[in-house]
Amino acid sequence: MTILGLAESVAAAIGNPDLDVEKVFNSYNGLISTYVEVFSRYCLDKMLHRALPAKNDAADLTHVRYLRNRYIKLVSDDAIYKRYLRNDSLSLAEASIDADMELKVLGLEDVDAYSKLIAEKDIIEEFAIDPSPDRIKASITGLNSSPDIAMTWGIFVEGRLTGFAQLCRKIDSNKTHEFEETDDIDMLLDDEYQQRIRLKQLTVSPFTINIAIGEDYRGKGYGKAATRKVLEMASKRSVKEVFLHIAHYNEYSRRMAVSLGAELIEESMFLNVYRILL
Amino acid sequence: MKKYYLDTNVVYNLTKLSPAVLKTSFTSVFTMLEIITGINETSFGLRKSVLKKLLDSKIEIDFLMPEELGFKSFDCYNENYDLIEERTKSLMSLAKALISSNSHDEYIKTEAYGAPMGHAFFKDIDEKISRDFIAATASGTEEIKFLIDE
Repeated sequence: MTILGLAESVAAAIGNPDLDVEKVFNSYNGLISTYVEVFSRYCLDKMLHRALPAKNDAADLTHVRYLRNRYIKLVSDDAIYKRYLRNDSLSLAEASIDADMELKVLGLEDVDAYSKLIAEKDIIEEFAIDPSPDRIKASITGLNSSPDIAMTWGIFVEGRLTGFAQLCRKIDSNKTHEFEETDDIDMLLDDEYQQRIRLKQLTVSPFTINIAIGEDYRGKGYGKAATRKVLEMASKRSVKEVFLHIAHYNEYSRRMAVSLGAELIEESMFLNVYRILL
Repeated sequence: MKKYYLDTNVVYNLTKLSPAVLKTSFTSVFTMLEIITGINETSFGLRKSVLKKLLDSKIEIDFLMPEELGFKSFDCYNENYDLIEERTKSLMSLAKALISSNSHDEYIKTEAYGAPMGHAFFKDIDEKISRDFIAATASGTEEIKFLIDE
């Protein structure tokens, strides 16, 4: 409907009887797709809450046009963007953290820094990583080849390794049996059958995010910034939803997840599961 | 490649942004338009200073007007029409007149202020965006309501 509204205004401005609204509408090229999404969300919200546009909403949403259809973050402290452009807006403070930080695939040059990082008590407990030097070297070179892990990045702040982030896909072997169960040994060993099982697993297995931040860097917003970057990379890979497992007592992570649009979908004794739609 | 778009409120606070953000940021002609058209006697000094800092900062400015972005979103428009934009040049003249004025009184006496594409012209664009937006929101919400009721 937003596209139709835009098409109507363009057709009216052109004023050519041969170029009707339908023709204009059908030639939409997606240039301002972020604006179209945000404006549609805004209208729906206003309608559902029977609310009227606020004085500055027009100007605020007009800025969204300039994001076009690219991965650009809008920097503002205005609440309207947090509401309608949650994953693509940053506050002033968040923008500085975001710019100082980058996610990079770990290399052998990072072995020392990575060893130091995972030797921290909290990280050993949470991720059960073997801190022996040989295992670390092997895991750095093979970190991204584990079938359970889609991607692992080092979190670098001003060039220093300060944590790591993982976008994981846990392969559940039980799922194999849900797919064309068979006892036929020839079929089980068949390459094509195994390939189909693998594809099925990839379709059904959910993505989760793990973030570890070194103790000197905690509480400064790097965990949130890293999570946001992983979400962005997941979105670029056409992932539609990711899950976060957060311990009951971890209020900081809970607030961070909610501020990124996560909703609580499952509560258990130790861990709560949150989902973020992309 | 630019990673951050700065809205008008952030442009008022450029000094609070880290150099890493500034060098990968851009803003738009719409930000300039908002700064200039909102000027009055009280806000003259602040707005002049913000505009000067923005232009001195060398932050990239997207000079497409908001409705041009709307037009360019439709290929049938791009294929059949060439948009000749004259407003940007006039807005830059207005910005220069504002920066070189020492007071609001001095600004309103400049040639650029009273030009056909002067201050009143751009203020009207700013207000028209608000009017059109309210109309579009009203029509959009009615359409959604109609669909839901159906």
